[in-house]
Amino acid sequence: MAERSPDDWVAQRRTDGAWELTRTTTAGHDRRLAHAVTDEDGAVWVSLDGEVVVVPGIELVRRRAVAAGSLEAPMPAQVTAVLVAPGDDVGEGATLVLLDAMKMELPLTAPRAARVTAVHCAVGDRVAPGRALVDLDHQASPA
Amino acid sequence: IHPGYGFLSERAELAAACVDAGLTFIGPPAEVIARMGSKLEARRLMEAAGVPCVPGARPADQSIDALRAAAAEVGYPLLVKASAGGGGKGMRTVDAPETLDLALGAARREAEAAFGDGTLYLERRLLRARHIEVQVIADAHGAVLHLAERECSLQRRHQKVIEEAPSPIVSPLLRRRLGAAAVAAARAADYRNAGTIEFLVEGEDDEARFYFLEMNTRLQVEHPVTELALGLDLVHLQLDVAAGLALGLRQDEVVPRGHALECRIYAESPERDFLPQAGPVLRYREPSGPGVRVDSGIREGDEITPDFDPLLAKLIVLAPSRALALARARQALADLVLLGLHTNVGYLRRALAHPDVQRGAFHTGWLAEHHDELTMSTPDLDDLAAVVAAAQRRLPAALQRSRASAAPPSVVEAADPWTALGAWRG
Repeated sequence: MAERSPDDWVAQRRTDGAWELTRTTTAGHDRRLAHAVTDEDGAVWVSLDGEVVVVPGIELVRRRAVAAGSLEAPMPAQVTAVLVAPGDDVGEGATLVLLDAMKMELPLTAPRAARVTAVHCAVGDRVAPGRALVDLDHQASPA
Repeated sequence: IHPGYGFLSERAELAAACVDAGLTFIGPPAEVIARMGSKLEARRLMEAAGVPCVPGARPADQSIDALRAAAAEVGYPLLVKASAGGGGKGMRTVDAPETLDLALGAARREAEAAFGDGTLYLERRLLRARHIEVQVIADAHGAVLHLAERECSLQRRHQKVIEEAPSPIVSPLLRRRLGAAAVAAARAADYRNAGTIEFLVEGEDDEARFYFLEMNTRLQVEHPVTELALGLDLVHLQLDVAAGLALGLRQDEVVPRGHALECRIYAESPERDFLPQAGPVLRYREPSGPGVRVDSGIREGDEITPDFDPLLAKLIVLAPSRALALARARQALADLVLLGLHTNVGYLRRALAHPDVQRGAFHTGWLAEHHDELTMSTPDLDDLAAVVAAAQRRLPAALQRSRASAAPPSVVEAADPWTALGAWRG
């Protein structure tokens, strides 16, 4: 039995924008229904019979490779507390900044023991995903 | 004015302001909202009416010392709750005395931010209990009816995720007992219009023990499961009661005509500890068919922001049996298309497919216990490659890389800001 490869599937675009995937094998016909749409970052969102997967665009992966030690906002939020200042030594798991999103409190914590080298936010700031909030130097902390 | 079920719907000030302005508030009178809105007052009223309550403490002294002493009396594990709270906000679980102070501080801050009131009370946390609530409706002519129960145990951090009616563990006798307690509670509160009495239930069927948890003086998010299961229009009944009409309904006419189930679709990423999501609704297609109802707050092209509650839509199904309702819900979730931001749809489908859920064997801690199983997904990468290739006329290198590393393509490489987030409290 031949190994399944992406080329076995034939994709046809429907008038409502969905993709109909069909394949004929020795066992019969297969049919799947999918929706695919590209977002403004070039990532492709795919829904295949209810399962959703996001395939990031190459540019997005490159842009997200941040300088080591910079903690970013993971989603749009508002800063409600800044608990550290440059020069502070923090332990692993220490809360550095408190964010508020959808009326819930999210703590941003240090992934490893480190020294705070810079703070790029203040209470009240509305931050977008990718915005650097706190810089940490993992080498500088006393282990 | 119909206040819906948002934060203003349980504000006595709104009901009173309507009266002052000569408007009809569709709900109970302001003083009833005020009394039942204070969880402490509600408990006192229920105890006086002979309705069993969850063991707890309501210290008038709100200092940390007094709360610590009260906690020692209530016993662990316990819940810290906001007196003015709802929807899981201002609530914290405390397993041992060492974590009490932290929980008190966080709950108070959250309650002050959400409700403008940081008053806290404590309740023993019953283990493996079910959250079963009873819908009540009362008219201005003295009639008080119960409209059977809803099973709401599938919750995460005290936010309901999946609800159904009737409950798989409520026997006809238990339904009569729960209904009688709910009607007694509504009468004790001088209730009018639609409301819900929430109970925690230990055990099943005739032998079950239940305890009053709280009363919601408004229509609830999950009211459609009652509507579909009983063949009633609750909002229409609310309008009738507000207009002064008598409920033309007898208690013996309240009979389930099938099994209803609701899935709440949230803008959240269960794989990332349910972090709320924001983004554009790039594509949205609702499922449809016999016994499928979608109550949605979104349209294709909408931008979902963090300024609002993450509930996007409710999918409710009705079928002749519970097994068929589960199957219908799973199919409807598979037919639903929502692209552009992450949601809990996959998580919902996995929950409905789980043998425990199929058997109706769960409790309020079940979703938390099974978190890992419910957030593991294995998309078929070959099929996906075919779709993406067709859509983009190229095979993205990212998909190649993902397949090589056997990681799902949704995982972004390089420094991952999600791992920096600590335990998210929601």
